[in-house]
Amino acid sequence: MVIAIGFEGSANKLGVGIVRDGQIVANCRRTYITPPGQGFLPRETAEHHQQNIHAVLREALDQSGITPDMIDVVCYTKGPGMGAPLMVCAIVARTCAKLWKKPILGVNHCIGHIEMGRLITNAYNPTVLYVSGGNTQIIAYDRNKYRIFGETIDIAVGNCLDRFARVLKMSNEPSPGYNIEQAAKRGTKYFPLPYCVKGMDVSFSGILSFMEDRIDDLLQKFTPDDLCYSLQETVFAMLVEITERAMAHCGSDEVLIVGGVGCNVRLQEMMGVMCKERDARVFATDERFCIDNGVMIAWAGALAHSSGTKMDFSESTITQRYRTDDVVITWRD
Amino acid sequence: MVSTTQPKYQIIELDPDTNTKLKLYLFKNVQNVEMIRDNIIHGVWKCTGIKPGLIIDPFQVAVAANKAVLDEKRDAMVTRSVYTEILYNLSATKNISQSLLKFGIHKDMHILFCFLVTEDQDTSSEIIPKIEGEMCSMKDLSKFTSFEETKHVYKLNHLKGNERLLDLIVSKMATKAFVTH
Amino acid sequence: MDESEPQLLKQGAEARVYICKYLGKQTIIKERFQKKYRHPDLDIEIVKERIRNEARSILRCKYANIRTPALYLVDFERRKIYMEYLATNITVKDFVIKHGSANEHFDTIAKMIGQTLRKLHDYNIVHGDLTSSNMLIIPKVQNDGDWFDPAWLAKGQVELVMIDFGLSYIDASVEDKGVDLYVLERALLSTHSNYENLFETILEAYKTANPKGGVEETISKFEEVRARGRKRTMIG
Repeated sequence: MVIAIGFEGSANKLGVGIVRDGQIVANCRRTYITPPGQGFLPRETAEHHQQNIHAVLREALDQSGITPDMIDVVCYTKGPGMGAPLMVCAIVARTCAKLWKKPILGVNHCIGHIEMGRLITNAYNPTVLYVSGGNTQIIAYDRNKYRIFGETIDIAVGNCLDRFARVLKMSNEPSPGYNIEQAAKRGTKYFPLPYCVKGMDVSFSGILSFMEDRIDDLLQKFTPDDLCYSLQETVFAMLVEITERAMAHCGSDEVLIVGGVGCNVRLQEMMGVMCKERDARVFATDERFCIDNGVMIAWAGALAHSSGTKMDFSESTITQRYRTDDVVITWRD
Repeated sequence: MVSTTQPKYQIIELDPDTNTKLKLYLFKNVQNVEMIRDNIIHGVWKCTGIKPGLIIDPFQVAVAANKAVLDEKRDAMVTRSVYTEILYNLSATKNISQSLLKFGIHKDMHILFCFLVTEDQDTSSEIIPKIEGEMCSMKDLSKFTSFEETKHVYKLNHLKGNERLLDLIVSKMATKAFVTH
Repeated sequence: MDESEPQLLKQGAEARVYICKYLGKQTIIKERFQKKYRHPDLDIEIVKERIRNEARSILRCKYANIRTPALYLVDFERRKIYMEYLATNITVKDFVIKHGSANEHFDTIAKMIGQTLRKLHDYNIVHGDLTSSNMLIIPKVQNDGDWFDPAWLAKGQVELVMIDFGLSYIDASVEDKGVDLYVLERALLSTHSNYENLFETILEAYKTANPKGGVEETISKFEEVRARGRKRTMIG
């Protein structure tokens, strides 16, 4: 029986989660929300995490009824992400590990999302679409690595949506992506936008600058709702297309959508239509698990810990750049 | 003189949706070209005459005729009749009068006749006997082909050898609606 | 079997490929069917654009002396391209898998690919979806058989045919060419991860294929795109 605690703070979400043998016993989170028109910056985000991490940790321990002595391994996000916020969690994790005399384990954030998704949905060997504010990747498992088959060649899809929300001065509460999704539901008029797929890779910066350059004109003819709708229809079609291409390439009949953008119901719906046509299944989770959280770090750490992975205390650093395919997956055949 | 031996024409089945076949006859030393041309131009004869010098393979005509019958069915023709459309489609350019002039017959001695035939209509049996010339086998078409002129018309002068000429010609024809050649 | 009834050869993610007797010849029909997950307007636009790009690039390749199938009919209404059927062919993917790097002709193929890609880019065509499945090896003289004899390679009796130009475009920038190479590298790494030198050999041939040079900028863009991919910050 493994009990693991996980600290996540690579972007504007701060999470502490605890798992006991694949059972989630605590999943606590705070989100740093910026005013409309603004994105989150490293220094302010780190300050937010600093001010909240003790309370979130206390909440997680209380909620789970787990005491520090019961914990087997302390896990934290090693990367990728913003340096300063990552550092806050790493320091707290190191302190806990020392205080509680427990081993420490740095976890790749993307691997956390994938393993969390597999745990919640029971997807067996899916093609993974990982979509968030910082990432857009098509991933499949092959010989002890999660290999990247396709990805964005510029900005992440979540970044594209967030920045467009800023152009429209939409609220960041609870999240810009959520607000775009709600607005898109009200949109009716479709406006054609640049569609950019290169093999299994995609590009979003052209769509964003196309809209930024014409926003005043566009708002004469379309409502913000129409524009959100057109944007979603376009970028999600691109994502579904490259996912299908990767599935065809790997001969896969399962898709798992993870990452913050993954809780968008329209994306899940489109993926479902594609999967139905090829007799495949789509797996997705809701915002409790899609959005960055501590449980995913605890769970991926627990898997690594159980399969014998160890990390020396001196290696418990952070790294802003940490590719999904850099991690050797010791817990899968 | 009209040959009385076995018919020497060639038949190529066009797109199944059109239920139409292309029937080709090759004639040399035609004496009454003016009468023929008049009848074709005025639409009295449902057929067209092509300069065989610019045709390197019957397939070239089949590609042009196929698009013509499909576009006729879809009401999407560029010219006024399906037979002029064949001439237009043979050309790689969008200039209608030039296309008709280049591929159509004028004072030519040798003529490649095209008929579009269906289950219940085949005008060739009435028209062919009126051609005063010598019917040749379609196998002899290449004897009439001027590769130099053909390459010139299709702007393929740079092409070395004739091996890939048909490939290039039909590909150019097939794309001319959206590619400027 | 009725030869004029289309037989399904391949069901892809966005197209079905049929073989059928058409205008008296064995013909490949590539149909880009409707994808119901996307907005119908977007679907029609994408399909039109891909058919147009595919036909345009196939033709332009011919000017560049790169072998591509001949086009017989481009039918936007039926969302189909009708083209030449090459009876004897093997994809580079199958060739590598079947014959492997142990085959003495492995290098020959890699060099042919590099030279062909260079010609493609020198003619400002970016393929957009370079994979080892989108390249065919055919004998210079087509026969009716459907088997492929690797010995033809030794005699230089083969040609490389490029296919699947749906994601291609013309008048590409240096950056686009760099991305094109990057897409190929990634595709080869995922399909043929056991032959790491395959892409390197292709790239070397690509660099040296045209003595006139002018490739430095593309290569440096390629390296830039590659570095960007590897170093992308990737904030959660």
